Amino acid sequence: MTTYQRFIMILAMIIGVSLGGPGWCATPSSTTPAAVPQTDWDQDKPPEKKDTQMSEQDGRYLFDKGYEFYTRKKHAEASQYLHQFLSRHTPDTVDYEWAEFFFGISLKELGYTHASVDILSHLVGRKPNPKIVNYTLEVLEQISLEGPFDRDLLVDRALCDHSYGFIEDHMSDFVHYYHGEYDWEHGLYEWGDEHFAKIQTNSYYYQKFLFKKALREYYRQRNDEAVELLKTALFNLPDGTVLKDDVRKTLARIYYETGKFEKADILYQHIEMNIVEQAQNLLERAWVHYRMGNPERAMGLLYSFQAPSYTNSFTPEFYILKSFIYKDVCHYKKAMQVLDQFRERYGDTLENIYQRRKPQDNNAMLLVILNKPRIKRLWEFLNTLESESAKCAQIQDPELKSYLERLYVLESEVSERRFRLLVNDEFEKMANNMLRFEEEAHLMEYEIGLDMYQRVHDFHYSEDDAQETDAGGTEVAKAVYQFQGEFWNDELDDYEVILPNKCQNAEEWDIFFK
Amino acid sequence: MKSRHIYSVCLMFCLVGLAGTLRAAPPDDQTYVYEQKNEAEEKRRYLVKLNQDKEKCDLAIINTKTLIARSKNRPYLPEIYLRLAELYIEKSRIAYFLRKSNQADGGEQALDQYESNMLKQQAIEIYQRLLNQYADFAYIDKVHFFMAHEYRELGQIDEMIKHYQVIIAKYPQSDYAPEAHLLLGDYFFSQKQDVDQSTHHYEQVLKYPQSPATGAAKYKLAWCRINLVDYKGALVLFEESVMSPQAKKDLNIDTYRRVDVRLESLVDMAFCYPEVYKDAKPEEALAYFKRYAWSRPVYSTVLEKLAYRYYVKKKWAQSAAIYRELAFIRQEPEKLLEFAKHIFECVQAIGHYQNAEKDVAIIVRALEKQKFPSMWPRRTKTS
Repeated sequence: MTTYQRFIMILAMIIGVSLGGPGWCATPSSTTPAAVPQTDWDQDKPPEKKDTQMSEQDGRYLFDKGYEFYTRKKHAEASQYLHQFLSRHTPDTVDYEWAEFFFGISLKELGYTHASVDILSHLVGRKPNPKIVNYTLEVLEQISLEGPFDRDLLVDRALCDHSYGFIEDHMSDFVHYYHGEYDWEHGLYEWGDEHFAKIQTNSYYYQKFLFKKALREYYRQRNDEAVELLKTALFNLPDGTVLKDDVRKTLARIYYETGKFEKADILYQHIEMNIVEQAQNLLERAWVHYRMGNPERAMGLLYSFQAPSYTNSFTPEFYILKSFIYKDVCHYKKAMQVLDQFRERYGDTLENIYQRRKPQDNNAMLLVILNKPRIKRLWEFLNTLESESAKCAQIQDPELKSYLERLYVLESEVSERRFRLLVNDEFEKMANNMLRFEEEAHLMEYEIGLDMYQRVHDFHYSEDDAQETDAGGTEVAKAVYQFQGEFWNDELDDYEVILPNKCQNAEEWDIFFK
Repeated sequence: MKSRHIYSVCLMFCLVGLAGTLRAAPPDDQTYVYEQKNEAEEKRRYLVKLNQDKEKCDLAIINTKTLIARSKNRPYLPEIYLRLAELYIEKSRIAYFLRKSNQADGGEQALDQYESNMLKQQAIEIYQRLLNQYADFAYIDKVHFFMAHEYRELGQIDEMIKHYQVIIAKYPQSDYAPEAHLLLGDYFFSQKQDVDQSTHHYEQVLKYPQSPATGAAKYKLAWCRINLVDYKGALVLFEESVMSPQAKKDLNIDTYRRVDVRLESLVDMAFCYPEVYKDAKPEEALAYFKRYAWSRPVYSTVLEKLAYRYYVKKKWAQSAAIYRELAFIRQEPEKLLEFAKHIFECVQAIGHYQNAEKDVAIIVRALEKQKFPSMWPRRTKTS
């Protein structure tokens, strides 16, 4: 599915109109995604149920069979037996918690991570016994590290609403980190500090804490402290982690703000994330080069935005920076054209804002909003729910199927509502930003006009011989590979545009003033 | 030689590298093993252990007696007697648990305690012998204290009081003196309902600021003050109890360590606070308890008590504000529903809806989280 199709689906979701295709995270479609592993659901079917209440012996049989399949890594069968056991017994039954635990793991192994989190987070909150608690926390930690998850269930409810006394050291780091983070988020800084102080310094969560602390220091306008913390985390974190990229990006941003552009540029270059996902970083790097007085490199980075991968990654800032660069080297016509492009792209958006229309009418802005971290996280979680929900079609056991389908439908509805609220909130902020960008575009237009007249004045009354020079001011001999109109991912951050400085040259329209 | 040196340097780097590696999550292929809970087997193992302990105790008693026989007129003889008494007490405890565990229904019968009490009597006899024959024994205060304890276990309260009073009168500098005061205070408070006497004893404990008993004494003294309707005095004592330094650890007494005195004090502060600060604004109350609490769970525990106290006293504005804070820091669906219900009732009673938006958001959030029962109805039966 292309990004555009997904985008249309978001719109459908926000508007609440069915597009006639597969339902949005609703009942699973009949087609099974190619990536879904086929399981042998039909084998070793559980016994037919005669009655909803089973004898103790039958119940035991279900548990034993479920566990047996679990140990043989036949999770499809294990989940059927364990689900039957759980749905026919009450929590006071012997081994009920173990059944919940193995059911949760089997679901995770089958790719139903959300269902697994749902089961395990309810289980761990009841603190059945230290062994199950430790095991469950381990599984929940794995899920939290592997992909999108329901933060409300896993972090807020399972971890932060309970105290866990007797847990193993590694789990203790995981629990203390989230407790500390939760306390900080709720303004309880001292207690949060106490939790963070209990994290072992050689753990991943300690580096995560350093990152968090650095952000806090930054918001308190203590940049030096923030930089030191980020450098420590950068040194300790292994390569290839998302966190390390986040640390690099944050450090680069602080360097940018404090005028250390070279350092910022190096850090942006070290970011290991797939280049296709680095539109925002490229834009920030373009700013770095622009501020370094390197407009050709900055323009090269902006040029890469024309690659198909970045079609939906444009932000209003892109146009503003581009017009800045053109203006600085006196390419006034192009600078004006860029502003026209800005109006072309966001004209409808601005009109919608002026007319106070709904977010769903603002496609261009929705694309930008989707890149906001919180919304992006929830968007990814919705995608996970959608794909996991689609897998339910494979399940043969009608009870288990019905249970999972209802669970996913319900969670999708809740998450969609949350998503809608977030989008609406963000839309309001973005609308204000968009109006600010429009103002900046007007201002830029005015400045370009002013510069043009100034240049004409200087050109006519200056005694120096005009010479066309490079934007950098020096000519450097180098091999240049002309752009062939093809965008290659490994070249996206490597374009350089030759931008001759025309500030000393007359243009056609100058004749008008002669 | 050189290559060996290089090899060891490489090895060192590898080790340093390993040590420096961040500990990652457990491997994905980790298998989790079911641990069967077999109550009958656990009970059997417990009984075997008790029997083994009893045998060890019997052997130790025999050996100690032999040692006593060989140590006539030795200076350390009283210490061996003291050890023998302790062994009888230990055996008495094991005998009690053995007897109780052998009952099919786990219940308690009068005969269960017979053997145990006999052994306690034997211990008391030894203590008495120490008192009679070794009045200058360095640990005679301990002997009195343990003896009083055993008398209490046997229900001989007068004897218990007599020995505690001996400690107080004759050994005021002993570590056991504040403990004796504390236990006498408890006796007068709970059994005699004599608040004056118990207050006197608890106040005496406070003269031993280094004693671990002071925290408990302050807590109990605060309850004496509450009985005398002196809420302000009680609150000050609760505050002091919460802020008491950590107890010294070298005294083997279990009289007050079974309860978390600090937490109990903080929770009971919620009882006194509305009485003392009648006009306090909710923000002041929240700031006050935030200052004394030491973690979020503790803070939310005390706020629950405080909010309910205000609710009972029909101080709707305060109650609603504290329930709002609770709804902000807690996540448990059932709790959120309870808080939302109380907020609604408080707001209804107040009669104006200044915080309507916030309150409705709390109610919606509470309801939003109530999705579980529809998924798996049976699971909610006992959980």
